[in-house]
This record gives sequence, C-alpha cells and structure tokens, in this order.
Amino acid sequence: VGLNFDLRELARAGVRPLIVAALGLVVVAACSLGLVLLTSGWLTG
Amino acid sequence: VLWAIVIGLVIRNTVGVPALFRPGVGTYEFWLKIGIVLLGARFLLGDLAKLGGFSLGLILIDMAVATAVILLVGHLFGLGGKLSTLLAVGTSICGVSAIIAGRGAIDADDEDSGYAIAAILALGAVALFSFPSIGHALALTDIQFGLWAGLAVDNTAETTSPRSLASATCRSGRSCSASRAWA
Repeated sequence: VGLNFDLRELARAGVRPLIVAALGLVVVAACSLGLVLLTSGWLTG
Repeated sequence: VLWAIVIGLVIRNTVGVPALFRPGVGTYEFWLKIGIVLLGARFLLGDLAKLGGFSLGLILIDMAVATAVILLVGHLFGLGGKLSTLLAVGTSICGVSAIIAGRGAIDADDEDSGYAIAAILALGAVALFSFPSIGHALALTDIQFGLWAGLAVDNTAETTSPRSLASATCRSGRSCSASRAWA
C-alpha cells in the first residue's frame, strides 16, 4: 500500500477529505465518550 | 502494519520504486486479500464475547453514528461517494485494515484509498497524543479510558499507545483490546 501511494496525488485532492475525517474522529470521540460515561455505573457495578 | 505502510510511502515518494521491483509491488492487492482473510481467521467469536460483550453494543451505536455523520459531511463537502465511504469505515471501524477491506468491496481506486489511509494515519497520530491528556482532564478511570480509546481511536497500534501513556494499570486492562477486537 505504501509503495503504491503517491503524495503528489494526495496534495491534488486538497484538504477537504482530511477535514471530513477529522470531523469524523471528533464525532466518534465525543459519541464514544458519552456512551462510556453514561454506562460507567453499569461498568463499575 | 502501520510502520510498513509509512516506510513504503517514504520510499515511494523519495527515492522511488526501482523498475525491477514494480511488477512485484503491483501484485499487492492479492496479498492484501490474503491478509484480510487471515485477519478474520484470528478471531473466535466465543473469545470476543468473553473479552467484551458489553463493548459490542457500544461500538455498534458508535459505528452507526460515525458512519452517518461522515457520509453526510462528505456529501456536504462535495467528496466522492467512495472516498467518503472509505473515510467512514476507516474512522468508525478499524482504520487501515477496514479501508483495505472496504476498498475491495466498493472497488475504490488507488487515490481514494491512499488518501483515506493517509488521513487515518495522520489523525491516529493526533489521537495518540491528545487522548491521554483528555482522559486525565476528565479523570476517567482505567476501564473508562480503555473502553473509550478502544472505541474512538482508529488503529489498534494507536489505541494501545495512549492507553499505555494514560495509566500503568490500564496497560493490563482488557477494555481496549475488547473494543478493538470487536471493531
């Protein structure tokens, strides 16, 4: 995979995909943190 | 796996791949498919149930929300459907492995999968350093932090590292492993 990956093509794609992925990480982190905190009573009980 | 991809990426974009090796490198999809099959063969459902049946429910909710949000935002940003899908599976399921598996399923091209992998690796590095600080700031217990890192961090390698940074006790915990294994 790495040997087939051309960074120049990545640069041509711009920053929009990176922004989308970053937003995704924030959503996943927030959602999972909320779930963990909501269920922490069950976890420790 | 992560280091192999990074090293290959550096070689390709610095010295280049010698012509002698290009035919061999071109067969990488075959080896990827073999690897995906072997990855699946590593897990026994019974073992996963013992490790963390509870985390299965959490990760199903997490995956549904994350996938929906990324596909929606990708559409709003004008990204192609295949790139959005690869970013969604990479972020919500299991990073590079999921992108590689998803690439074959949707017949995505090299550029889309390469971009998705690069984005996931970059964000994994951010998570590696930011998650322990957030965990400390929120005073999460070892179990809470392990479960959170396992659910939210894309790749197993990056999941394990913040867990180790967060707490010495957490290193022996199973929450991360259970969540990642399910993912």
